[in-house]
Amino acid sequence: MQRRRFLTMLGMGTLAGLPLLQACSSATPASQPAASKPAETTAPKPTAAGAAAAKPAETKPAAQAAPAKTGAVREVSFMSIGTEVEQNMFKEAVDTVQKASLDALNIKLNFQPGPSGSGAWEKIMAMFAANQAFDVQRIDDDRVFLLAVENKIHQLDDWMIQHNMKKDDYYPAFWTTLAIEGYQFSINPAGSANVVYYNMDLFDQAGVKAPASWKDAWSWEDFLTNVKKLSKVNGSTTEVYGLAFPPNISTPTGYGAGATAFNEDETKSGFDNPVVFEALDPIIQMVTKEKIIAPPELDDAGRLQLFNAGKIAMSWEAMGFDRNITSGIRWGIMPWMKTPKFAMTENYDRTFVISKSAKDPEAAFLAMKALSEKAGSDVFAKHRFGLPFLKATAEGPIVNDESQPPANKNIWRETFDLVDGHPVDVPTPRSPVGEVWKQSFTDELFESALAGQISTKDFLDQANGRINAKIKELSWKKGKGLEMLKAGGGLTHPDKKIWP
Amino acid sequence: MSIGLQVEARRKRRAWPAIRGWLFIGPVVLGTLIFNVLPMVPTLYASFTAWNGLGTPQWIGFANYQRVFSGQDEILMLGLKNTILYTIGYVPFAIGVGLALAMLANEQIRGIIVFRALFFLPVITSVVAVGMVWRWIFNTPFGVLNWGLAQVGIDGPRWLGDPTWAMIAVIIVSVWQVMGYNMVILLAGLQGVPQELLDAASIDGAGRLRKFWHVTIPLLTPTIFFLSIIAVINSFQVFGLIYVMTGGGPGTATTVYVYQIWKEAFQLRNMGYAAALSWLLFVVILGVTWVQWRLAKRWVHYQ
Repeated sequence: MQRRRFLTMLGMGTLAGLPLLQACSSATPASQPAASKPAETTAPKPTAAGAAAAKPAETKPAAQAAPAKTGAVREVSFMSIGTEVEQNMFKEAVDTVQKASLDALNIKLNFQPGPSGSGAWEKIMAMFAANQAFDVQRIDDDRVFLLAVENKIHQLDDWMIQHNMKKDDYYPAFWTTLAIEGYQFSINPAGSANVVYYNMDLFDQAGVKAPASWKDAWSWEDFLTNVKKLSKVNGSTTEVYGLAFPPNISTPTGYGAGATAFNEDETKSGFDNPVVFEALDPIIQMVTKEKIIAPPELDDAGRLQLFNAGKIAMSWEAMGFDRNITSGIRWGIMPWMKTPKFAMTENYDRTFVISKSAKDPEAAFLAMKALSEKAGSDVFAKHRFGLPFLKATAEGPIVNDESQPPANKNIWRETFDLVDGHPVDVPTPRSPVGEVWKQSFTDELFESALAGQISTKDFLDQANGRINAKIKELSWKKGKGLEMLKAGGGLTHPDKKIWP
Repeated sequence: MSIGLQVEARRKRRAWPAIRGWLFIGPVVLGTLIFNVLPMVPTLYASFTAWNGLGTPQWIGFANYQRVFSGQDEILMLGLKNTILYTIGYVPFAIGVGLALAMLANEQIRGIIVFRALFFLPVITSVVAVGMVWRWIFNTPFGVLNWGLAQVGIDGPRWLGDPTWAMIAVIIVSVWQVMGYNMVILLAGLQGVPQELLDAASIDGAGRLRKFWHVTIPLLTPTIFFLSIIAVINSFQVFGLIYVMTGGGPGTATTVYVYQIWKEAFQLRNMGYAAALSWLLFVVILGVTWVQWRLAKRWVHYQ
């Protein structure tokens, strides 16, 4: 064969192969009706749901919240990452809300499980960058601001008002925790309700009594004494750690000491305050010097394993930690201590948003709303996914079943409350400087301090330095977030706010 | 057959090996071009922009590169230092342990195939699984390694919690994971050492050690050279194991260069800066590899 002919063939082969590769890379999941995907390809087969949808919507009470649609079923895709247990829970929640309300609204919610594990949240951001996010997408709450500013997600206030979401049905944290400059861009059905899980046998052996509510949380002095009492150190080996926690304990501890994230006009880090040092230094010393708090290299699975082995007396964890506590361990829950002023905790708030690539965003909103109503919230509560913000569920029998451990379930619910006029859940600033603030106090700098690599003072100096540098870089001040939101085009209804 | 037809037939026969060669390497070349070379172009563009990965990139000229060379990015400097430390610890041990195993595997003993297969297993095991298992082995104080050390009266360190030991722990696992691959490559090299040269050295009175040092090692230098190139490139690009085992910690003790690139890109969302760092890494690896090739003339012996 002549070289020219061969090269021609190679060229043709390449041309033929490229569209194939392109097609492979741009293929969307079967259940994801992306904007470019024709509706007819996603239309479901005739099902009971479809039959129900064909009935007049006004015969069903749930349909009163939204105009009933006749004709084609409105398809909504929903995706979340998670473990297999969580995926099963989401699937159950979707099936439940489908029957409870979505059938009547002629909406079909299709759940697409996403792989969890390393880098999963980053992959979701890549999906948003490529306009390939699912209609309803569960995201890392730290990204809400960025997605809103970059006009990748829908503002929800108008739909919330239009579809009669009742403010008083939910704890205020539902409206405040994730709001961007007071506007709603996401819905989180449940907060993590972080509390301290404790080993009752180790408490009994040490003669320590756990407090039964956030109001009665241990004082700072009691906390220091009891961690020491509960620890068992044999020479250079720690047999039982008095306490364990993930690194993000630093922010509620700083807040609990009386500091705030920023000064009033948000031009300076608020953790540049001696009370933060006074609160964090004893904890750091107990890890590095006394070795009675578990080392920071223990991840979530590691803390669970040691708790199950009876080698951790107390561990600060999200609701759901108990799902994996072995039956041989007698456990209970108690509040994090006053450090030193207020008893505070931090709820994790992975949240749901509607992507701008959603074909039918209003239907997506109604589906998302349904997940945070009674039927969906009950499923989340049953699986201890978190504590639902919906009062009817949080205060209802599923969460408060007295026949099931632990006692004092009110401690979970109180993470949404005020104690002595202060919120138990620390506010997380939702802004670019807020992100840096959170990373600076919970990431490698805090770990460096816990590993004894740097002193507490150096940790705080460097963390505050980073935040102040970011503030300077962005010329940040209070109100700048609103400017960015308006400039980005994501704020479609500036005159609408469901929560003041 | 006419002369014209004969010439055509001969031309076809000559062309066939080249076509066959292209067909074999074609998919790899195509894949490399599309998935490796092509993305370098937008990455180069991104390196001159400020970009959060979502919005429109803003052209900022050489600002990202200036930031790198200003030396003010302390964590990046730490990452660079840690990468060099890792390379110094990893490359010689990875090749040394591989060579020791290859020598063992080259012996004619019973069950040697099983031995070779066992040592190759870590190579084909997922880096995530390897990292997870070793996390538990290194666990302090309840891991099996420290338990074993305690049985012989040694108080094991906080492998992944102590900044001094964490990098050593990562190097140990990296060497463990790659030693099977190096063993196989070096074993092939060892089996290519001509027996007559070894016999001639024996006749000249050389013992085992002298034969190894003056015959085997010189003939292995092309293989060792190949492995050193691969090992240095891999060590500059180390990420997965550190991501799973230490997350760059404790503190910044195992934050290597590529981990910092990942953090800048996907956690801090400084895509432009991360792209600049990636390009600099490419240039550095290219430079180091070029130096290795230049130095190879002095110590690599081809038969």
